[in-house]
Parts: sequence; C-alpha cells; structure tokens
Amino acid sequence: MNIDDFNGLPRAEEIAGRISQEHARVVAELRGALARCENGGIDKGTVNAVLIAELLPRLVDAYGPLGVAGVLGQLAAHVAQSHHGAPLTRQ
Amino acid sequence: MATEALNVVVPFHFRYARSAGEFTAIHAPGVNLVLWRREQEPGLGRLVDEFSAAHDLDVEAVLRCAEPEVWMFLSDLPACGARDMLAADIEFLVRRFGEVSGRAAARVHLETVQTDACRLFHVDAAALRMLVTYSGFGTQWVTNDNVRRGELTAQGRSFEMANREIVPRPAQIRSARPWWVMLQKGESYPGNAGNGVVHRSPPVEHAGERRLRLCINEVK
Repeated sequence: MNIDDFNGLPRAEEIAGRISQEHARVVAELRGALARCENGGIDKGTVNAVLIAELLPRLVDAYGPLGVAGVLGQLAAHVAQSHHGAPLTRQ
Repeated sequence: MATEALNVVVPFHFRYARSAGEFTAIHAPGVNLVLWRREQEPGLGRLVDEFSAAHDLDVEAVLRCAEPEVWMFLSDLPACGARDMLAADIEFLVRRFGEVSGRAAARVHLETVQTDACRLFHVDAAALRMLVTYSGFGTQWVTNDNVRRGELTAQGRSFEMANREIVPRPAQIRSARPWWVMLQKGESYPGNAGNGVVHRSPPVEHAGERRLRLCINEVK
C-alpha cells in the first residue's frame, strides 16, 4: 500500500517517470528542429527570434503577464551579474 | 466531539496547480479547491503593497470573460505602475476563470478589506469562485478532515465560539499568501453539495491591518 494509492492519486514515481520521458522527447524534437533550420541555411538570429516569439505567449498563457515579467526580471539580473566581463554592481 | 472520521479516508479534496493551465483540476469529483501558489517578484509586490496602503478600493463590475475591459474597470484608480500591474493580472485571471467556468461573464470585485465581516468559517453557495489577496493576510481555509460541517453557521453563538466548534484544531488552519490564486468550489456546483471548501477571511480589524482582495464570481 502506497500513500498515493490511499489518497486516490497516481504514484509519484509514475508521474516522475512520465514527465522525464516527455521532457526527453521534447528536448530531442526541439534540437532536431533547430538542427534542420541551421542545416537549411536559416541564420541563428532568425531562429532565436522565432523561438522567443513562440515561447513568450505560451509562458504568459500559463503563468500570467506578471509572473513572466517577474521571472524575466530575475533572469535579467542573474545574467547581468554572472555574465563574464559584466560589472559586479549595477548602476 | 471527534472530527468527522469519514473525511480522513476520502481522496485529497484540494490540488496544487503549477500554472493557470491546471485550474481545470477543480472539475474533478470531490475536489473543492485548487491552489496556485505563485510568487511575486518582491519589488513588484512592494509596489502593490504601497498602493494598497495608500488607497481604499472598492470597485465591482460584470466583465466579459473573453474580452474583459479591465482598464475601464480600474479607470477611476490613480494612474501608476501598481494599477497597471493589477489590471494586467485581473485581465489574465478573468479570462482563465471564464475558460474554467464556461461562463461568458464574471462579476469582479476588487476591494480593500479592513473589517472582520467574513471571519466565520463558511462554505460558499456559489458554484465556482476565484480569490486572490494581493496585499495583506490571505484567505484561510481548512482541509475537510479538520471540519465539523454540522457546526457550520453561527447558530446563535459568537463567531469565535462557532469557529472553535467548526474547526476544533486551530493549528490546522491554512493561510494563502499574497498573490496565491484560490479557485474554490461551492455548494451549488453540480454534485458538490456538502463538500464546499470551508474558508474565511482572516481577522484583521483588531490589529488595524488591511487587505487588498480580488473576488471573481460566476454570472449565470
């Protein structure tokens, strides 16, 4: 008897296994698509622009505009602080 | 008197959502609460805290869920970053509420709460309701196994005495934090009679505290 059975929920290890498989599949699909773009002569800038344009609306749909803004703000601060050659303090 | 033993063996009645896409979990039989425990970036959250401290708000309107005119809804509030943040978030949540409820319109109420008017533990008659406390203490709720539903309503007692009978173990009271989204299922949701989530507003009056609360209700 497992606590998740008791609660009527799927077992944690089953969920973890499924998510892990799906994650690996998505990574492989996306990398394949990126490789096809680059092999097809599409420049990286265009690919990056399309990736962001596709990604941001999906994130906003899932987490809301403020949720995404907050994460991007934290990410920007982290990148600015950790990027090689960046000043240690922000003006 | 012991709490209702039957509730201990039924499946969990609340779910945690990782994103707004998981609000649909509320439709599962027996589930009466979906909690999205989202965090706000401290700097942005502080803007709303300061806005809440400076203004008494009480705005209410029926908005179309597909195209909520939230900017008009909040147009009487002082123009500032906090108002814009609230507008963006309310628009997002009204749209999602419309999707999950299947309703074309929702009654939206943004208000400053400074009283203890809703401090009695209760269930909602409404089918679905969404609550967000943007600033101040969040809504309190209890799991089904910590509730004696037969004691709901004051029944001539003081609220404090009734609360002690409804929730005999106060240590089990759970509190939402600012910005968390609570999607609640009430008694009139089909098949949910007797299983509305038990909750209340936290007492704030004695401490002079204030809350900024958003409530979204179905319009039939």
